Amino acid sequence: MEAIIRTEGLTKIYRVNGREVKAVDNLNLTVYEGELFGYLGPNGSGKTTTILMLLGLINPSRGRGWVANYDITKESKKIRTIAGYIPERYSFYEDLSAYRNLKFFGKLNGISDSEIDDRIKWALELVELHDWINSPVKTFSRGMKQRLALANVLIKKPKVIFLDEPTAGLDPHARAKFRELIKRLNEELGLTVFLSSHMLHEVRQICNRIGFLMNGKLIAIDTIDGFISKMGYKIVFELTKINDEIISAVKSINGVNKVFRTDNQLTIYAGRDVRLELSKLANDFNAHILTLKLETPTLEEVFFNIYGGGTR
Amino acid sequence: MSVSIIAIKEFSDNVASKRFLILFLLLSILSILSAFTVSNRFYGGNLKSFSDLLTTGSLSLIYLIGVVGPLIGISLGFDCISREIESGSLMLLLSCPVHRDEILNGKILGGLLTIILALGTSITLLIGFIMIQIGIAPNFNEILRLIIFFLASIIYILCYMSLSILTSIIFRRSSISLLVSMCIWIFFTFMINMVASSLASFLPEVDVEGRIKVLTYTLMTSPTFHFYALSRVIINPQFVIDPFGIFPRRSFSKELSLIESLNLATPNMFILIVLLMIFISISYIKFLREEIR
Repeated sequence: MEAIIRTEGLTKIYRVNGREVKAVDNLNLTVYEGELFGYLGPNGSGKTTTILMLLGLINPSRGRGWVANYDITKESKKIRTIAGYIPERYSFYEDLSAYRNLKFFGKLNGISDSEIDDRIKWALELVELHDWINSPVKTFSRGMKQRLALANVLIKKPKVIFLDEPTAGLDPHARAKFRELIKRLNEELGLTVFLSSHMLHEVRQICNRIGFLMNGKLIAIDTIDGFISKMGYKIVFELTKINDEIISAVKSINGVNKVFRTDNQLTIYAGRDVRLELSKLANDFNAHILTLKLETPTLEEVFFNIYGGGTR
Repeated sequence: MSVSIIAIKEFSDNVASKRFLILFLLLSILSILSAFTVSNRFYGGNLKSFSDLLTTGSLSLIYLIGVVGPLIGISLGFDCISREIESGSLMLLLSCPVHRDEILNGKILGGLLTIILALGTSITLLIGFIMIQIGIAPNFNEILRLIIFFLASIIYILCYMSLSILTSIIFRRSSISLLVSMCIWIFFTFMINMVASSLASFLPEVDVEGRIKVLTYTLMTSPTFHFYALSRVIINPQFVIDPFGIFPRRSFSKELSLIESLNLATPNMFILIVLLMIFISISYIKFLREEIR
């Protein structure tokens, strides 16, 4: 696969009250064509700043970057012809219809008059808004506006789209619909998706590779399976009785990383399979084993337990 | 290409906006009222020339545009950028392959087209009504003077529009931008004379000539002052400018040719254009350097 987004030591430093704040710190990232890439991190971790630098809307303080082989500092206008962007906070012209909004932005994207109507119809059908083509945007729900924003980037037939917290503020139904749409566009059009979010469950449901950003630094990047395998073993261990002595004994077993207690159940994260030691331990403490099984850890568990991820 | 797309949208947004329609109606009604007022003076037998009708009286064309013109300019500019920032449409605009200067150019061009429409209509209305009322038309020389006055008025209103675009970029909030623009307009239109006189009279140990210089230099900062000065000279061939360079007064000895009038009005026109360029340049610098997050 060919790289469509590439950065080398990309850094952005803001001056806040005379103090330097590194919003993005030495970012080395590669996203490949056709990928659904999740850019995950807490609020304020530098996700939006990264996207704005990649689109050439803000200049990096240091480092370099390319989108579809276009230099982000020298060829930003070219990047914006082949890249779509849905910001976290945006608004269409509310009094204008969906058609007039798309026509305005379509023309700004260089689409010719002869092509524009067909593209608008095609994009609105794709996002299932064709029945609303002449309705003013102010009558649209948040979910519809989000789909309209997607149509707005699709009319320029982009190679890559940047989505910044795309489902924030949507109800569960609209969120699910939007997710399905993104996946479908990736499958049918081969569109590369760079999705920035602080919601792990959302990224997990859409993306096949994830980069985890913390305080401006990319601290981990892997596929979902890769992340889960890093977590090692998750063992659910339920006994008839549990006390502090048993918990201490479990923690002292070689390979055990973390132990969490819920009533008489322990959830153990370990670097190896320690079920044999656990059954011996239950015997030593005269406790009956109710459950002793291996489980696949969730992505959430990986982040919270390994990287300490969460919102700031 | 992008500039014209943005300009056309801006123009259609402007002419469809309620605030512009209100100001446009106000200017049109005042133009008609002005026409009736000056026509009545003609019946009193005081008319010296067609130009005289447009330059004298409390509701003259010059006074009308001098006061209402900036309001139209401010109404077109005060939320020009801040509205896009507040609503979030600026991000969608910037995500298109357009440079920021193209956005600003488009906005200014759209505003210019709106000013031409408003001003053209009101001047045509006023002259048309005067012609109907008194039954005489301006001669060729007066038409030429009116065309030059029309261009000067556009520059004058653009000056205030650029100023309010600048406040829109600096303050990023439409309400504050409007407030600041209005304060500047009030200062330049109604307070500058008072401030200039006060400054000149309170300066210790300065002779009369020095005081007049202080008065002159203070007044020179106001686009409104330059507009009044150059308009009288351009429209009315009987107006000349006094020895200190910028104060117009009526000359009863002779009528000036168009070239002579233009020569007299050039310094004021030049300063008006310089003020316009300053406001536009600062707007460009500020908008292009703005961190969008």
